[in-house]
Amino acid sequence: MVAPARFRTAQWLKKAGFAPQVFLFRNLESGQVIYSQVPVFNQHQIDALFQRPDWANKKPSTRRDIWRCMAVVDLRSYEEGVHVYQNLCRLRYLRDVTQVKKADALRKKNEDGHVWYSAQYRPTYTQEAVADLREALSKAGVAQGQIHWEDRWRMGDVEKHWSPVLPQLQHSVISRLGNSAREQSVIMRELGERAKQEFAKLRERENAARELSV
Amino acid sequence: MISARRSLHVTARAWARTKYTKPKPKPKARLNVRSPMQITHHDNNLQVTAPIPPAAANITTPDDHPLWQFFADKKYLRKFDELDVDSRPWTIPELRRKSFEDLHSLWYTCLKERNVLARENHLLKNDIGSNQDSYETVSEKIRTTMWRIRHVLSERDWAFKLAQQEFGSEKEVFLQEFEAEFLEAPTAEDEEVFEKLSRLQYSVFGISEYIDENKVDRAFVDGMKYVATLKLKKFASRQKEVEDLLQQSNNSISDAGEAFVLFTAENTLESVNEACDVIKELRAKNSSVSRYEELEIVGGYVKQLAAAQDEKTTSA
Amino acid sequence: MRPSPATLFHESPLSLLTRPWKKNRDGTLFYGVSKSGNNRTPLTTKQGNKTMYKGTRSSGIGRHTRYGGYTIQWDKVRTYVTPKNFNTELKPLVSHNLPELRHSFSGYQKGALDSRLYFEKLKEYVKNGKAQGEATDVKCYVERG
Repeated sequence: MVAPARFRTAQWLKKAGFAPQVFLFRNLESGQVIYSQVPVFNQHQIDALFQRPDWANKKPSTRRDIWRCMAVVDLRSYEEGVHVYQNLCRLRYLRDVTQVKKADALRKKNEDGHVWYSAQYRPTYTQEAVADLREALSKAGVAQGQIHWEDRWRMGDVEKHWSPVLPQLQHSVISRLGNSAREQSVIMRELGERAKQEFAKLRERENAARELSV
Repeated sequence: MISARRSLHVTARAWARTKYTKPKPKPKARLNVRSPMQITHHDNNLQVTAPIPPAAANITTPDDHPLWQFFADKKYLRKFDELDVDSRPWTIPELRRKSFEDLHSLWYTCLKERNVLARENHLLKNDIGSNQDSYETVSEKIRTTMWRIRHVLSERDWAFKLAQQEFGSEKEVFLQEFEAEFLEAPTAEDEEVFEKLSRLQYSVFGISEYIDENKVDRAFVDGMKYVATLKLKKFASRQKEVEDLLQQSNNSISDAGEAFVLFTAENTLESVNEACDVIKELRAKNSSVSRYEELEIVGGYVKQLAAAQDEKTTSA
Repeated sequence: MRPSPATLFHESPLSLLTRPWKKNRDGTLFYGVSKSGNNRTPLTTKQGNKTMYKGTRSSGIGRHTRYGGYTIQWDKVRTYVTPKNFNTELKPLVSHNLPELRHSFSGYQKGALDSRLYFEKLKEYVKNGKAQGEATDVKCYVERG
């Protein structure tokens, strides 16, 4: 699968056989996160999402071995998915460009006043992405949906951070049985298939309800 | 009149307007307008929020997590009095008494224990900064056990190789001795003697009692012939027909097919008699197995027999 | 330094026995005593001449192909086989109360490698079947072998 080089509309995604999902990839080396509409990504997305690279926030490479799927968000419709994706990209723009100072004030610092890091790794970026995901979902008015997390640890405390804002959102963890890093593409394809089936079921139910009411 | 700001291309047209240059009427509103492909837009009230801290409380470690194998009793660090300091490593004679399977498992047990000790020692030396080396001493003891295991295995291998070289000559003598003893034994001891024979065929020729475990090779066929001949000789003194057959075949069975028939016959006079009848029939038909095809043909027989036994057990 | 006579070596001071290293009180090596430099450590991968190869015992499981590829030959990859029937009752160490077993091999010159011993064992097996050795009894601490 090749990632599209530009933004894709809901219709295109539907026609091309994708599920109404949004994908988050994290960089194992630096902790940076990429948002994507399809289960792959490419250089264009990195260029768009890292507009102000500096020494602490370097523009990452597309090396496939250092990127892992961090979360897959299942949504109720393709429009919602696109909306959430737009929100996420906008939030990244706000953090990097327009509201740099505000975003920087919220980060944990080391004794030198820089973003806390260990070697290349800055865990703040990943956790910011988690916060952004919550913000994007809540502002997009997504009532129901499901997030498949790679790891329970990274999602944070559900009671404290997620349920007050998005009470109906479901959380689940991607199965780690076997070599989940190597089988990532297969796992994501399976998640996509399942999401598509869910979507079809939902449409059927809606149609049935409409016919009944008519 | 021509304003400087609105540049020439607008004013010039306005000035040049005549009755022939009337502006065109506005086009009618199109009916089949395609709706826009993209209708969503990002929200404008998005807020930059504080990063959500990860929660270690979300993770529960299963009791059978494989990494627990690096911990003794799921403890971070054993105390010194919990360590088994007094025990000694296994000695070589003790290990000589163990089977390969036992030594193999003991090796892995040692390896796991050394992993645990190395982890604890590393913690002690690096995190706590202690100078104590009791973990290391225990680990060294286990290392002694481990090299002794290897020593015993290598010793076994060498002994086997050396014995293999002298086995050919030794075997002949032993088999002759055994034959004499076997034929001399009275009828009352039949059961005992045949048990000895089965042990002999296992230890010298590698023929297992369970037919499906066997791999047919030269030793198997030779052993089969030897056992068949012995059986025939054993019962020759008790029945005339058997003796006749023995004399006809020059005191030894050399045909693999005949040997197989005798070999699979039970150790009673009746069944040996039956086997003799079968052999006579075979000879009457003049069907014999050539030496070159022995292995394949006997292999086929063994497979058939194993399949038949399987069927019997499953149906029973 | 005067060499100590071979017969009385156990009476010579410890510092002489541990020549040429001089040690501190706590037993650590006194820095700078060895004049020839620290040449008693194993070679690292970076030392030696151009023919010296010291791997990490982690490579050599396949072939390099053209254009920087690598094909793994699976028969060269290490596999660790664990026993099928794992005997968990055996512990890595034995109680110190148990006397150490010895094998005498009386009558067999080559000891454990003597083939005659194994022929004897084979004959015994054919004669008596599987029998327990003498040392199955805890009190026995010398066995033939």
